[in-house]
Amino acid sequence: MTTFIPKRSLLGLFSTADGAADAVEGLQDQDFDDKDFEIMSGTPYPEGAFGEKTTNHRLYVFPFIGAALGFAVAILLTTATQVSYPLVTGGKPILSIPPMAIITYEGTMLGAIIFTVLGIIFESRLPRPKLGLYDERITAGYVGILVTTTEDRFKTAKEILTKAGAEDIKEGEPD
Amino acid sequence: MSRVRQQELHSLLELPRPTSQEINDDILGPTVTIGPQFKTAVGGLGIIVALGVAGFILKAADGFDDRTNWGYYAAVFAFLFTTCQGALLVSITMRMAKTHWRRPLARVSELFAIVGFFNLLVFLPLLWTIPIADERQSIWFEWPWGAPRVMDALAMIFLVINGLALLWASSIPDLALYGKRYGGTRGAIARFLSTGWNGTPIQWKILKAGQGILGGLYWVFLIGVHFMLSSDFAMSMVPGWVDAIFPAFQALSGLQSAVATTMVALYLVRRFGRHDQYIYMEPFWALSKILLGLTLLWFYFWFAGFITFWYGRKPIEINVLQLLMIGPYRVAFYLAIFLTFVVPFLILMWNWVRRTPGGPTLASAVILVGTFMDKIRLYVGAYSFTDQELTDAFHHESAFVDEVLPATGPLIPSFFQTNWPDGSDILVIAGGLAMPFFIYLLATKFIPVISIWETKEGYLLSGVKTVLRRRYLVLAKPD
Repeated sequence: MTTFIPKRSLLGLFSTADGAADAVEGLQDQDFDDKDFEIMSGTPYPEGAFGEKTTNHRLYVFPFIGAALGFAVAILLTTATQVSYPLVTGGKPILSIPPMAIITYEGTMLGAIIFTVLGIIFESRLPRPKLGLYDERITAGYVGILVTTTEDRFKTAKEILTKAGAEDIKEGEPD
Repeated sequence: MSRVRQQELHSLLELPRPTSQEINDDILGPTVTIGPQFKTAVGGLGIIVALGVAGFILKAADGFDDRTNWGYYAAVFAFLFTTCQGALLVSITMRMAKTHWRRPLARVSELFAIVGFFNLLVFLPLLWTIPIADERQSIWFEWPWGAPRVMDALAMIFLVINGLALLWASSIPDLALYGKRYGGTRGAIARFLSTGWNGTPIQWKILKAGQGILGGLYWVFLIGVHFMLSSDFAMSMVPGWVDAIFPAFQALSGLQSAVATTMVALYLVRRFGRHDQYIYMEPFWALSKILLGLTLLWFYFWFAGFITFWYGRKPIEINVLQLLMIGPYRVAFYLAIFLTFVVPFLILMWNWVRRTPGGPTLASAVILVGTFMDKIRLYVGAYSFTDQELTDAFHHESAFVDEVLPATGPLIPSFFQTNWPDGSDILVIAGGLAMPFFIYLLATKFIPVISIWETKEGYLLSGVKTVLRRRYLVLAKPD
């Protein structure tokens, strides 16, 4: 039986990227896992700018899956309709590749597009109905470090953020 | 941030560097504000669009059987497709090439995806103006299941979905910002579309990867749709016209028009959108070089098609040349050559002209007029034949294919008579050309017309450094 351990969030706001990087370094030094904190910014900083670990994603798989599904559905559609209404035209076979190619192309593309959109949402960990701790100053150039940790490590996290130069720290309610 | 005088807006090097908050205020401010000028413009354009709808209703009341009645409508659609739905390519391509100067034009170009949705509505009635692929030449090999209507409709619908998906993906951070700062209906819509985005590193990474994938798909798709539409609505509507270069020529014309459309939109946004401090000279200068290259290519592609027919001298080839170039639509053709190639070439060949926002915009505007003339001669010309004439060509019984027909004199066939626009055509043309402006203006009040996050990223990754007593712009390129 797993025990539910209540967690609490705190958000440190940094006016400089260097301060945020110091905070990340401090958290890593104190054995905070990468899943324990999130960096939030209104500008796309280059990957690793805060010393965070590189995150891999599988977005490139999504369009391939979508394309394969779209291709299959298009082949099924074109085959089924032509077999259902078997009209021989111009002495060509009922199932001839050239006229099927364009529908197949369209189906493949649609599958790839839809799955890419789904992939963007899924891989971005969206949608988030509740934003959680946030501060509008992040949209104005501040960098936010959101730490979610157990009550016993909460104080440590707060000290790290303060020591790194957080201009403001917001504390969330315990879960 | 105070507004900067026009003559100072040369490059990122000379511009003041705003803070993130200033960028938010400068770009979101005009997005949220609906002033009297905006209302007047939207109201005026809305009336013209309504007149266009009235023109369409007048046409529809006469039915879809007489194809000659729909020639100008088809030309308007083809023009909007070529220009507006192609415009997204500019942003996609420049983002793929990781150019720095594309930041001011990224959203300006992608916002045309919304115009594409309304162009789809313009397109759908056209499907009833072309016959099914039965007993006539087409790329569909007489496929029985709704060809070419179903295929063309699906292609257009999917292309529009692709464009809107790309616009959505690119706008998520700005929509999130909009939603966090403003309430009301527009704020609620922005919050819904941003799906709880808060700008974590993985979200930024996925956003960029998603833009790349959706952009790549759009590129592939658009060229394919150019091929389908130019084949189905122009080439296969002319008995016996077989030209391998024509679809490629239309796709190339689409690229030229895409750049021209983006350039004109960029200029208008800068001039009237109160965004002049973020749209500096570099995008105009850089795009104008590409436009010059595409203008030269336009002539090359046209000439390659023309010389093949002119040299071949078969009856069908002479008749096609008469129909589309030197016959009933010669005025439109000469204007197309002059305005799509000659004039822009003479403007864009000068570097000092290219280094101004006005010069390339003038060339672009001229190109757009020329492109419209090109669509008129192609689509109105192609819509001059009856279904029976297409069937006769299929059975090798067409005089248009087998004999050189007179394009002047008393024995002139009906398809060599100029189809001048009537009242409903003029309404459709006016409404059709006003529609992109109308929709685009409305769209700018929902989605910031300048990409805020890309602008901020541009400032983040650039700086000014003094080397040997001169100041230079230094760019960081993380990938």
